[in-house]
Amino acid sequence: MKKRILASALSVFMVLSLTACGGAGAADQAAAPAADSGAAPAADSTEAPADSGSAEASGTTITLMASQDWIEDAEQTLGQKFEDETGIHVDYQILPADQYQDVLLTRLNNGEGPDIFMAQSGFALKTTYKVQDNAVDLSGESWAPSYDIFSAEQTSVDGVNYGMTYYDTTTDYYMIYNKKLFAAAGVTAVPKTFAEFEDACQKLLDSGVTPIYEPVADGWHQTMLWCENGQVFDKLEPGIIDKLNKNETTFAENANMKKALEQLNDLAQKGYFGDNYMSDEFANAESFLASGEYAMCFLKPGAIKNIVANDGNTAGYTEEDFGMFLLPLLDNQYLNVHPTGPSKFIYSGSTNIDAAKKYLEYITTKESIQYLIDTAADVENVPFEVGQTPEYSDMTKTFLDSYDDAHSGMVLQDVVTYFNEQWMDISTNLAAMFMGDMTPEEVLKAIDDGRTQLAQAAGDEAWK
Amino acid sequence: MKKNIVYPWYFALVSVIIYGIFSVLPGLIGIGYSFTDWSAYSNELHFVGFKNFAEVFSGNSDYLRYIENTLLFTIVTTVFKTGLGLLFAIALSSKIKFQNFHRGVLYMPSVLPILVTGLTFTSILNPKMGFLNNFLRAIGLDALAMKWLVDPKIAFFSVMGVDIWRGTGYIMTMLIAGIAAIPKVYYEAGSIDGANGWQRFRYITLPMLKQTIAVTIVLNVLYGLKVFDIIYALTNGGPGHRTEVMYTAVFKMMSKGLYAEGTTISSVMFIFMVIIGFFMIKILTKDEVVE
Repeated sequence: MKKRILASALSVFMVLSLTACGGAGAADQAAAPAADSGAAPAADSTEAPADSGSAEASGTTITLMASQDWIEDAEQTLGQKFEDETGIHVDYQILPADQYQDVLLTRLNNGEGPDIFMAQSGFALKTTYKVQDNAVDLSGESWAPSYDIFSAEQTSVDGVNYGMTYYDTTTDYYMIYNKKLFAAAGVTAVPKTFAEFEDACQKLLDSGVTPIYEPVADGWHQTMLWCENGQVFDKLEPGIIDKLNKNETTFAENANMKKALEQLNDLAQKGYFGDNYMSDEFANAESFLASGEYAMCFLKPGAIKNIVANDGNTAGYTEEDFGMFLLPLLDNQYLNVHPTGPSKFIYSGSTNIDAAKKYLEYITTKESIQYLIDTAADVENVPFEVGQTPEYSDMTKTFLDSYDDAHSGMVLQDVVTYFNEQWMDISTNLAAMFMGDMTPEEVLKAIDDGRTQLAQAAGDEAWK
Repeated sequence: MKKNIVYPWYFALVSVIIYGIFSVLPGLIGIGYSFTDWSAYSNELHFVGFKNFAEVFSGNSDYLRYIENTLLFTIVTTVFKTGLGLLFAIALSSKIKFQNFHRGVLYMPSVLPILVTGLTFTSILNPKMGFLNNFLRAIGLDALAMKWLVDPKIAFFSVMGVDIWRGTGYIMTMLIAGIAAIPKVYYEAGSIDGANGWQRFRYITLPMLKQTIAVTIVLNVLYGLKVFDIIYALTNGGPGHRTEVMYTAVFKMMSKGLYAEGTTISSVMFIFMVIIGFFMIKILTKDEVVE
């Protein structure tokens, strides 16, 4: 009998310990992918000097954690040059996009952040990433005066700048299309309304070309299609953004937002994304456009150079064979402006703050910025003014110049609070919508629920 | 030496104290936090009663589906790992050529890091460019080339299939050890009495292996209930939320800084595990002779 009691008691202890793992354990598991990807927590991977503020930096390793596609190869080359000059090694920890935010937040929330972490700038910095606690004040750094004022606003919290957007935010994502495939399918003009866009997609499909390359597998791109048209919501219904931020209205009760989602879903249901979009990855977008298998993808203009230079470009497409237009959900013809982007922050708990600052200083010199622009094909400029020469193509210039301020607007994630934090959840829900598991109303309701949850957790007065 | 001697209680004291402080106590504290609004967004902590539990069990939330998925994963993987493990264990306990090689090959997936397994299978199971579908197409079985990890109807079964592939070798090894411990004299006696292969398995191997099988079932069930990594690596809960389980939900809540919600789900899992663990221990000890 005693034995049975002992066995039962041990079993209860065993499951209790598993419950304990549910809390702290999740953090351990979260750190694992980072560790497996060649990373290690800062404290382990660093030969930390006794006093990082004054000690010789040579031999130090700083860790930089980023999501896939946030670090250009050219920046890693700059990192190597930086190491050659200073002796400080930069360990780039690149994580898959669909896992990045969860892993980063778990590490930050558990006090185990990397020396430099990357996060999307904007509202979420204060509420989700808590950069006022988790990051170092960079307002007084040598590069601060040359840093674009609008980008600085987006990396600041309560007037203090904690970050640096080292990413081409001077252009945004637009629908990049193959002119030759359009012409071959009988599409003679760039679509300006949703009806025209669907008509073009159908013609392309009928001609044997998959209209749109939509990489859903990464878990972030599909949300772009909807949010990067967000400027149209405020144009169609002035004041809607303000009302959302004051909790005076919801996404679910907004007819325009619902209609835009229905249109997006329509594209998936009619087969315009092809039959493999759930597995398609962003990293392959350029090669699939280069092969001519797909006619369009929502990309930055700089991607055109990469498409043309891609090994898969057997048809010999040139840059002139590609163009760009606005995705006309809700017949949108307002240019999307998006000053936020992946930004770098120095972790306040880092033992290598000075070395990390040196790295940021190094990559923002005129030479480094010019090297990035010249080397990274999809970077045409970065939000700094150090006398660099931007590489905007004539096509990009013409396209951007065709929209004045009255016909431009900030994208949804830059103006709505408690929204960008949900980016990956929204992407998951959009994938569920494409599969028929969720309706557009349910996707919008989930956004509202998520906003309420985050706002209440943050003690936002508007949600009390 | 008497068989029923249990060592004096104080022999276990140090272990129990360490275990209590580092495992039991945090577990209990975690349960306590599930009754609060603990989050990364506020430094204040308020008692909210059963609000978080109500959210988990409300019909509006997805958690009930995650619980269903967790239980389905546990049952299916336990049945298949145990069944296949037993089959392989019996096959590889008989005298066949390259016995150790076969055992090694089957055991190999268990020692691979789960993330490596996940990344490898993500590539193999890619519907367009993956090895499996390319192979099926190459031999003319195009109809069998499916969207393994992204078709909502089969994604969860693909994940379970990969986990069964990964875990069967481990269960097989435990069962081989169990079979090896069965005295040969029983089989000799059975043969003399004219027992055929099936009868030897049914009346000698299976009863003698019962305790080992019970242990493997307990291990599989506990693993299944707390499964996280293989799903995280293969689908991260997708497509949509089709392969979401309780611990991927815990992870997502924790990473959002919604600690109270995360610990609430953990607490729910605790209740599940206590109930299941209790009944399993009862079954496990049912036939034991109490001296």
